[in-house]
Amino acid sequence: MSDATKSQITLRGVTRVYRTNSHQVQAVAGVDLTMHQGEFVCLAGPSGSGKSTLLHLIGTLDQPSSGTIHFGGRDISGLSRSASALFRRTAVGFVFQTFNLIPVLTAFENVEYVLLLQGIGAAERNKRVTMMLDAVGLAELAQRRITDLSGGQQQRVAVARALIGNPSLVLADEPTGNLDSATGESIIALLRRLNEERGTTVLYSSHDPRIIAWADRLILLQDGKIFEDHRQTKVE
Amino acid sequence: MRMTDDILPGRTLSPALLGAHLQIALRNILRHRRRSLLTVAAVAFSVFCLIVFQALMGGLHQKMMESALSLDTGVIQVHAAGFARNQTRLLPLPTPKAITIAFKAAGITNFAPRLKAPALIIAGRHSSSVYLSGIDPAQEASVTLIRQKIVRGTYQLAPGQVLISKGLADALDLNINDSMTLMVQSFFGQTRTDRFTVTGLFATGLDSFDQSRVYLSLATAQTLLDAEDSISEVAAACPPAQAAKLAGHLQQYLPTAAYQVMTWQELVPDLAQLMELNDATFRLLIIILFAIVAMGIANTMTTVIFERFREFGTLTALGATPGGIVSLVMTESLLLGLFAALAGSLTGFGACVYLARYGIDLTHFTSANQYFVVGSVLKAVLTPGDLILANTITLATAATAGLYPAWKASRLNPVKALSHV
Repeated sequence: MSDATKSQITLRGVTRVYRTNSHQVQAVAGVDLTMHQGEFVCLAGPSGSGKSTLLHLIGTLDQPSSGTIHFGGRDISGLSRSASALFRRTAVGFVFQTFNLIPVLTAFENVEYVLLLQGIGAAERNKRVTMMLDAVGLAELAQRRITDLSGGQQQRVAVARALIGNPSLVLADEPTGNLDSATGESIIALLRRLNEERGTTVLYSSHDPRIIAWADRLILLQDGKIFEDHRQTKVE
Repeated sequence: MRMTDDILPGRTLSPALLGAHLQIALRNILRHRRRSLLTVAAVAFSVFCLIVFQALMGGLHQKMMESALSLDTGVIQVHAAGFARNQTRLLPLPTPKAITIAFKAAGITNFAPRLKAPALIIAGRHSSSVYLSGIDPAQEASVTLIRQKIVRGTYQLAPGQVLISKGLADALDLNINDSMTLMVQSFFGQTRTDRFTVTGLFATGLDSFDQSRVYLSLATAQTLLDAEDSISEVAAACPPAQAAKLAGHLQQYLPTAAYQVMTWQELVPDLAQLMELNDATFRLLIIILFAIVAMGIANTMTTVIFERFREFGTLTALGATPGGIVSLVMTESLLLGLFAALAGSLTGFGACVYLARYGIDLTHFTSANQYFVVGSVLKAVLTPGDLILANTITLATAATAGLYPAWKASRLNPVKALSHV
């Protein structure tokens, strides 16, 4: 059995080059990476080091210029628009720095949308969304419009939305970047708890040391390359 | 192994998902009230114009037909075979009674027998070339409007009496009860003259018609023309839309070897052509109007897409397919069209109800012509088909206008969309 099939995510020689009229930028340069189910991994590095690009590539929002990405043994590096959408729908949950919730929907409806995409029936949707909002501590605010929620509450809704479809991977791009430190820590703690309870793999990016410290494994990026990849030991 | 479309579930848009898109679209329209209101108002105004113009066009066509056909032509005419318009030769119908039977069998009750011939009217030292019409006053009144156009004297036509127009009377210096002479060529080719008394004056408002018509009773005309019991034409009144059908019925009873049955489209082809030209011009106007509507909706929807780049990027990240994004944008575009169609239809219907009752007086905008003999007030005639057409065009335009923005939204690069500020 190859390494690509026994691991959850495997990147081999992944490169992403952006071309402009005058020059080209190598955002990710020959990255090799393997991740396993249930890991809680942080991507760290300075701005422009390729953190977001790598998350987009793994989440099939972008495609590598060269190299391959396998997910559960399947090559996902060249999917069509529709195929990548259907892959994300069932396998990946996203959490964004700016929350990216649908402003005209309530907290409940934002979370429910993923289940609608998955074709889940009304009764099952109600049950699962209610439980998920309860799990992120927002049961009381389920019917509130997004615009009536604080930044921390909105990010909790985003976490609930990312996890409601039971994805095996959650990708979080600077999930605490727009939050104060206390709220930010509560969000990363929430992600950590859900990772432990559900066994969902979480790959998040951050440059906040307090947030980075929550990860089991730290991958440091610089100039699009991994220059450090190690397991973190928590010092109590 | 490469992951392909066939191993992935949930490709279709479920009714629940479409319902959610409807909800999102509706709330977004309400969220941007001012912009939505302006777009809906602009499109609704176009729908309003389309409905009102269509109804006025219907009314105009109805008035044109009513006027042109009730002046003299009628909806259907029967002549002897070989008849040609403007011919001077008297061509009597073979058996007038057969025509009466045929009309009754076809269910046509309003018809008028006539004997027509060219004549010269002489009054003192004045004379004028005219067209003589021998009529049965009662039957003629059921087909044409001459009786309603009497302005002096009476509509009665006893032997030795004639009706002429006020215009002709003025030109010949004649008045009620004055005498004048009619000179004709009889059925046998002989010149005949006789004295008549003017018993009534009519005025249709159409000079070319008024200056050339002289009415006398059918019996008097038959005597004058030496055409005992003869008629040269039967004109019938019936709904113009049924002309072809009824003419077909008549032809079953009147053999083409002896009779010529003609509909108003054949008798006054310029009227049918003018109406067709009106329709074609109107269709062109509709295309221009709704091209502007389409641009308005497309502009609004493009702005919507631009403002919501990040939202569409997010939906794509969550797993919405390009088809799903298209459905969301199209739903919003169609909703705008639907609201506009409702608003435009309601206001347009209200305006048509008003215009059907009171109309628009075109007296000061038109010169006297054969299409406004009945009157110059143009009234709206709205049919359910007009309303359905206006709404169908509006929704089709909204859908077409939404296609490009929807396609653009579905092709957004999700990474760029998510980083859009």
